[in-house]
Amino acid sequence: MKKEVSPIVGVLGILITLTAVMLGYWFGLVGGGKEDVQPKGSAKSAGKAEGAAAEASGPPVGTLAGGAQPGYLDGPAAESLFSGPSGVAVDRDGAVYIADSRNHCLRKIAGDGVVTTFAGTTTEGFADGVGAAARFSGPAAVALAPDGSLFVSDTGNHRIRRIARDGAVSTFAGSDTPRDDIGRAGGGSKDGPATQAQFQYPVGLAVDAAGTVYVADVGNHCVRRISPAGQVTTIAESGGRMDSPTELALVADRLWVSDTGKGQLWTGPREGPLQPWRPAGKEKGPKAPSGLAANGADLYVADSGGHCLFRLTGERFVFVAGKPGVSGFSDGQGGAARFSLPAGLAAGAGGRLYIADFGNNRIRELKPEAESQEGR
Amino acid sequence: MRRNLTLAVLLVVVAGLVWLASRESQRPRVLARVSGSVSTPVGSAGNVAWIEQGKNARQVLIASRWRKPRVLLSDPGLTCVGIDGGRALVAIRGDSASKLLAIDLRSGRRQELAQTQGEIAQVSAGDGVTALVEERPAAVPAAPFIVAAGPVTVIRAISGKSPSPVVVAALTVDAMPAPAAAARERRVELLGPSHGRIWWLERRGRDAGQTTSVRSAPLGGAAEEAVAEPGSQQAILLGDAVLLTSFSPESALLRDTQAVRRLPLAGGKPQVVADWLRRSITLMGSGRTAYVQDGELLWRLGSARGEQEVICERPGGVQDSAVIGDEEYLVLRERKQLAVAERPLTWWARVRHLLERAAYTERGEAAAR
Repeated sequence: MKKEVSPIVGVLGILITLTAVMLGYWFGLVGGGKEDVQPKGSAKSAGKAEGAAAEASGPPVGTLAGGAQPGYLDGPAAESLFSGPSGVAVDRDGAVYIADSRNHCLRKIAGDGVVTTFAGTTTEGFADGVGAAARFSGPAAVALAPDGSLFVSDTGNHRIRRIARDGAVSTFAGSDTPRDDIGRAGGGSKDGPATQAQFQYPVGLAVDAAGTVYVADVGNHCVRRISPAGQVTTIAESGGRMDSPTELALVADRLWVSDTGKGQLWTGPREGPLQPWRPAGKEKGPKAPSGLAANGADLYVADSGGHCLFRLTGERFVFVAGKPGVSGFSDGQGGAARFSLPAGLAAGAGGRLYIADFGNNRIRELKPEAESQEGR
Repeated sequence: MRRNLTLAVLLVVVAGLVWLASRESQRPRVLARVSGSVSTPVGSAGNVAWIEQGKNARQVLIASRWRKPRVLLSDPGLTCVGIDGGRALVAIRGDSASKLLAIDLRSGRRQELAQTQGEIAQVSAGDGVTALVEERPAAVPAAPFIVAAGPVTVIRAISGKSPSPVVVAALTVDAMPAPAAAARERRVELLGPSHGRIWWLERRGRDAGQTTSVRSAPLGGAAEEAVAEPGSQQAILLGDAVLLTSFSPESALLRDTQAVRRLPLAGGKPQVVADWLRRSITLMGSGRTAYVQDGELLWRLGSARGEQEVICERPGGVQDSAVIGDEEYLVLRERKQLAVAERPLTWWARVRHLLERAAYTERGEAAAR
């Protein structure tokens, strides 16, 4: 006797088979999405902890002003916001001046920790005037003169500006240059009377006791000198050609220059010629030197390419803070601190160092080790 | 007995036919096999064009109405290609300047539309207007902290009224070197011309601090922000709206999911039209239809949430794709070939989508706990 199979049973059988295939596929998918998790307390993490302890030595680095996000906000330093601070200077009273480049203005952190805008606004432009009436274009560096006035490299306008103690902004050197098809001034190269001279993306500044202003003219690959009488000349080089001179410092009677493009320093008498400088030892130095600050006999060097700080003592580079090649943000002792494209540097009273931490949109502060130990 | 046997055979035949139909419908026709690297294909009105870098030549190829592709132009400086009706727009980088050519697809006649100082990186056309993005490099590349000397992105437009290109916007781009993960991410993504304005997606900042906004400007006017969406990675111009990806309000607990919002060009608040999409999707569109490429799956997005449907599944994976006119054709780039798919709909892909969504939900709940 033949047994008849019901069509319902047949259909059910097919459906069950299909469901089984689908479920298998589903579980396969879920299983494939599992992540590989490193167990806590593994040998790898223990090694990292030891490394972190070794890193946490050296002078302490803290945050003076600025926040996690780029922005523009005056007020108490901890609440203030900057956008691409690239230049910094400090006066005898401890007030810190900042070239807030993406905000196109000059900011000041007073001794009481309050941040204000003392020249320009967040609107890019070119205008002389007092305070908010003045306009700048991507100011990149600042330097204080012996008379208390502040020099500003107005990089996008290819000019050097001067801010008097009463806040009046004037054009110290540089003149109009041809504009391109999108209305941007291209800069130029011309020595002579300051008001007729031309620069191309001037950045680093230094002012000596006599009032002579030195300018790192990065677009023209050279250093320019503006005499107190207002004559602009180009300082000669020997032993090679500069690539991207970005920052300057005066140490005793010598002028030091950061050549960010070539990854080396240049030095020589103030009148020139400037020569490439090489350290005596084989220790690793800055990859792309930027900010320079004389601190006693030492010269601090910001390494914008390596995201760390070095000190030039005698003929050798000494590592100071950050982790070479690692960008980030953290306060801490020496190697435990992290920077992101540190640009300008300024040395303050008591050996304090101020850092324009461009990528982190913050102003950082490095205290000398002796001071930090006293404070403990 | 015979009746049951016939029924069973019929059932097997029907199931087989359904299975075969689904298999066949998801098999796109091969359009071209490529030997070198290929740029993202662009398509419009039955034409698809792409730049192919071979061993010895860099060429623009075009395939019209699924016919065999032909070489339109060969030049080592080719940077981007676009299609505007019956002509191809081709950008070429020279030693000191770049130029944009319009090439008639029938006659092959060439016309120079624009010359720029920097490289033309993107081009898009519509409403009788051609828009292009010019990238000017940093004046001092070694020092990204010199903002004034940083790279500049210039958006230009060419229209019948002003045949010489006008500057729509000149944007100083963040000079900070991008992290490796975002190295391919453009700061300005050209969406195209529409409603008398040029539209683009603009990214500022990096990582968690990144802000994204859809902006537009009339020819010769000032740019305005249409909407700012944190976390938005992609946007497309689709009819009278912009579709943009952004954080998902529903699946926000999972970092790897995102939603698609629709922003009317006339203004208003963006509305969610699709959710539970992976971060790695590619959003694309043509006419009034948007598509999402999500690894092996290609989805068609409806006008309202819940109407998205999986239309194609490619087990080998698709690197990128383009929609070509008629809203129903897609060009898929897979390993070494370009293929055309005619909006196939597979029930199995739909089932997979449902199951994957269930898996996402489960992971989301686990994350919430």
